[in-house]
Amino acid sequence: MKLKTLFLIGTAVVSFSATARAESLTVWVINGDSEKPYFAQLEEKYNASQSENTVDVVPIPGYTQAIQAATLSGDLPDVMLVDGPNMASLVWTGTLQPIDDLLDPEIKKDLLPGILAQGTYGPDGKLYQVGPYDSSEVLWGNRKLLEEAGIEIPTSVDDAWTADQLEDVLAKLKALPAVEWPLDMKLSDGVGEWLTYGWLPFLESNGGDVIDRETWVADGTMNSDANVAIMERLSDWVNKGYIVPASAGDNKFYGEKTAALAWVGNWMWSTHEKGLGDDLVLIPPPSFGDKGPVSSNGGFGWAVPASSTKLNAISSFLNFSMSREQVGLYADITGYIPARSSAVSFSKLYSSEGKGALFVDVANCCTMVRPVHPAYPVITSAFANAVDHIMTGKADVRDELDNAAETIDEDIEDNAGYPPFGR
Amino acid sequence: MNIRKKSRLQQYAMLSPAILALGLLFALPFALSFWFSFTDQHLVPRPIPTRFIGLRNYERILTDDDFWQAVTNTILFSCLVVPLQLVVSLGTALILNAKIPFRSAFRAIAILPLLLPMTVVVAIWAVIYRIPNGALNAVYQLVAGPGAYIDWLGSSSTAMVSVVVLSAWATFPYQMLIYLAGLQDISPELYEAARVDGATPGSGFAMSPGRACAMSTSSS
Repeated sequence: MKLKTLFLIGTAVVSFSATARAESLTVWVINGDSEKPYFAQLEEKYNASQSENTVDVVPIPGYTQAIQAATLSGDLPDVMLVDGPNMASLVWTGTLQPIDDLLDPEIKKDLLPGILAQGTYGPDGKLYQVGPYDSSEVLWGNRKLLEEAGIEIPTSVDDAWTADQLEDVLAKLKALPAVEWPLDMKLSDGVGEWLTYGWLPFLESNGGDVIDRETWVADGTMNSDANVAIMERLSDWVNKGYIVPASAGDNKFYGEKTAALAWVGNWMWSTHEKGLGDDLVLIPPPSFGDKGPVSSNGGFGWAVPASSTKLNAISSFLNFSMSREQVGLYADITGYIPARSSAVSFSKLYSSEGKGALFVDVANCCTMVRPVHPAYPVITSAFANAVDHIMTGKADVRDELDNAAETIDEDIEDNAGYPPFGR
Repeated sequence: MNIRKKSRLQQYAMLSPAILALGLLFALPFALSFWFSFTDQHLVPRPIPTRFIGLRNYERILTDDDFWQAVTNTILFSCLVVPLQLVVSLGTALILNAKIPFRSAFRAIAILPLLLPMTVVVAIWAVIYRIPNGALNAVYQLVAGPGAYIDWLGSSSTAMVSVVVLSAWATFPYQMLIYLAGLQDISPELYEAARVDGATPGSGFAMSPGRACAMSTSSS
């Protein structure tokens, strides 16, 4: 009798501890068409890889608004994707928890420098977000049109065009009968993150920025003489008819082929390759000043809400999704750059012999992380509005940059300097 | 308790759910918004206390050029789009109320813009306004010569008119249906009586369909 009771108690304890270990995780991801197949296989392979935990990977429409609403109502998932530049804002409001202890140190060591910088919060130096991919931007060219205009195409970041050389190239291309506007800078995307991602590198290449990253004051940096000069030059290119206007649509480079160059990130790889085939050529980002060619980087990455408690299961999922195989798959399925150095060589597209090798060169040498500061949502919105007004409305450049600086500094003042950042 | 007092209590009891809902969903948020406008309250939670800042929010918005630009644009847009919508929808309703061949088919076509999702409407007009070779610029090039184009949405002189035309086209069937319903509500005897009294088409419209349309305009 005693033996039977002991056996029953033992069985109950064992099954209870097994039940306690088994966790079910909810993971929120973006609802992009190019990412969906990746996330579907991630859920399937993780669930098949072990028997302890299960994961439900849910693509969420209207992602940023959904996270805001869930933050307010306390309904955040166990793990979620967070856009890199917004990480600091979420950490400051207490929405995220550090993930240093959840991530395998070997994976952390293997991350591209830009990915590590994007996910690290300045005041405590801890990692809060880790992206499976990195991004960068280059000039995409139509080889046929460039050769027709007699233009020599640079092949490495060491011989990137200067601003003067690029202006000369644009003038030559404009003279071709087949070219309507030589350069597509994706103004058709409207006011959004692209305007910061795409235009900030020109300022940084010339030693400028949108905010002083030591004092966190925008006035004097955003509206510096150097920034005004760069933005006036770009505005002048619009007036000369060098830039595809916003209302001309998205397909002048890869569809109608009336634009010979495009300034956009690696996410356009498959669209451009389908449109131009062998005529597609990658050109390093232009150098607008002493800092040489510069590209933005980063994107969405895994983050853990402060409310999450299933840390063992979350750690297991994070390490699986950041494994070399999964990071490589993300790159192959979506066209983004693998976030781990050791995964680059496995990628058909981005290995040193791959067609996209220049993206990796740029990601290694020339990327600049967007400001990691809780005021970033306001910084990007103010700068993007200024760029939009300058590039589409013939606005006064200095006035626009002054307004942007004022908006950012007011927000920082309203939030008491975002302590502990201080002023 | 007399019957009148009991009846009044019953009335209040029956009204109370609606009053409560109105209070919670309209009055309270309105009062809170008014109070928050004097503070630096943010939508998302933050680790610093909310402070009273007096009239600073009002000072900022009233000295913001973008705010006044938005106010001007909204007034201008309303002044242009409302009369245009009413004229187009009344004209279309009058045509579709007349005995014309294929009237049912024309009625079905006329309400198509109302049935299309806004994304489809925008896609259609993007093709029409596209530069340099959209549908409208193709017509313009017949007059101004090959290669000429107008940036309908990108130029500050044409953008407002372009958006007004798009908006009027997308929503006029709604007003048109109200006008048409008003016109169809008029008894044929009224037209006959007007004719017997010697009414011309213009004065006849003012007497009977005009009145129906005035009522329909106020309801639309």
